[in-house]
Amino acid sequence: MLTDVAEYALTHAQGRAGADIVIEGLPASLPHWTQLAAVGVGAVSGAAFAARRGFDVVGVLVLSVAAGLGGLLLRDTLLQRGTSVVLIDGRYLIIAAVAAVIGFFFAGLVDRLEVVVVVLDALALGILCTAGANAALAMRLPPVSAVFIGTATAAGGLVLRDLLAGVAPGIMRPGILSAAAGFIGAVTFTLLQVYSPISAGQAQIIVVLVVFVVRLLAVQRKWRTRPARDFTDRLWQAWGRKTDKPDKPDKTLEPGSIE
Amino acid sequence: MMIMSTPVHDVFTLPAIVSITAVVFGGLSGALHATRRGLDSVGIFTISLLCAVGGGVIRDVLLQNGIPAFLVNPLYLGLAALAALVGYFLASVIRIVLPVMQIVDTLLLGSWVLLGAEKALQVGLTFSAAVLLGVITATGGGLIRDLLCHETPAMVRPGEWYGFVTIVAAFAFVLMVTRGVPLTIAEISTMVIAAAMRIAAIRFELHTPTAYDLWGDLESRVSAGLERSRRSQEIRQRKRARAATDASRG
Repeated sequence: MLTDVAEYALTHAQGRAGADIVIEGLPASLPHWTQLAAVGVGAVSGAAFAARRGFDVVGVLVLSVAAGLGGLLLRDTLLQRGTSVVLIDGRYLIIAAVAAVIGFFFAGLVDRLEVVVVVLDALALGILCTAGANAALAMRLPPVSAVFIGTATAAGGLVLRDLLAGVAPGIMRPGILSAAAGFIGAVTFTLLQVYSPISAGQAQIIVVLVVFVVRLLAVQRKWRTRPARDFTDRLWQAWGRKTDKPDKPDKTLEPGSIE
Repeated sequence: MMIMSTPVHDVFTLPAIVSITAVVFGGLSGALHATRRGLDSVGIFTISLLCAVGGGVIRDVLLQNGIPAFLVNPLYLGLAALAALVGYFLASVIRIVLPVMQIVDTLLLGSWVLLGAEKALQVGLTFSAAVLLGVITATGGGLIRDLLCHETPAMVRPGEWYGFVTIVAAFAFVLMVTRGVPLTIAEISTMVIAAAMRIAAIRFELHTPTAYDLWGDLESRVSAGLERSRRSQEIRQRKRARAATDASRG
């Protein structure tokens, strides 16, 4: 089975013949097992998440599959590419099942190895977001859609996991940026593909590094996404009008939820 | 009913200006919904996009109908992003235009049903599938929006007529089309039905009833009825036994 990168190179071979340049000293592309590993990392963290909340065997298995494969499933469903990659290639489901076993019996170990999980998760985020953006670009969708699909592939597993576990989807709420890191990666990848002659495989490597750095910095420096802030009053005043409402001290819509 | 010959040959499309307005308003309402719940930028954009294009995407995915339009045409994602930006920084502005958005939503509710039901009929699906797709296209965006906001979807809770209106409108449309009513007339009357029901629901505060509202505590009523019948049966049996003993004595 073709990897996404090879697929992309094939479909774009005519359009950009000879355009792809290869940077010396960088490997040509990431091997395919990195994508399997990315799925595995997501699945293990999903399984540990489920085990910590006291789910049974079935629950852990379901959440591990959802967290690991949700993003790729979402991508293939939205792109309508026929049967999803995760079903055609049997290894994906086997990896998710193995991850479920690990999460079920060794949730405590996964928790204790938090640093390792965060590092691997940061790598997985970059791999998944490039896999998504790449597939969208390979179908000749506009760059904006590639960015969207890339972010959705990176974040879809987490959303699905939270929905199935019955908790509010965490990545859509203020917190340490994770989907935003996937978004940055998808934007970088799409820009590299559209505006630079770097080959898809090397662009993927660059983006994985970028996302990795951004995500780790975010975790270390506690970069957080914020809820909406209403600047309407200030805009109104800039126009020289008086607002009807008395000036509130805190302009955020949800006082207390910020910082 | 088996798969019927397709009575619909051309797809119902809204004029571009109307559908763009609808996407913008949907996006703005979604952005406002998300800011009220304290979501971050990712959440606000997601909800805004879902409210802008949600139902149509679910329709396209269910019908396996090619890549959803919002991925092919970058306009949708751009408009949703713009709406999310407005929601993020200027939520009160949206609140000002909220009544306008509600009016537009009321008037266009029927057309969402048409977009789904007609597509289903066009690809040759059955009566019930067309009704279902009409309803999903009209309400699916809100459904996923509520799921992602971690709420029970408004559609499945008792409340002002909304989902109910789409069900009636979809049913009416598919019924009309399969009974041979000209397409244009069926379309117009569906939109009129939907708008009229929606306006009536707002004006007269019509709410969808729960089972309890309709039948009261059905379980206790049923058990009371069973008890009554059991007692009358006992009395009848006793009478019969007495009659039998009387007869044997007499």
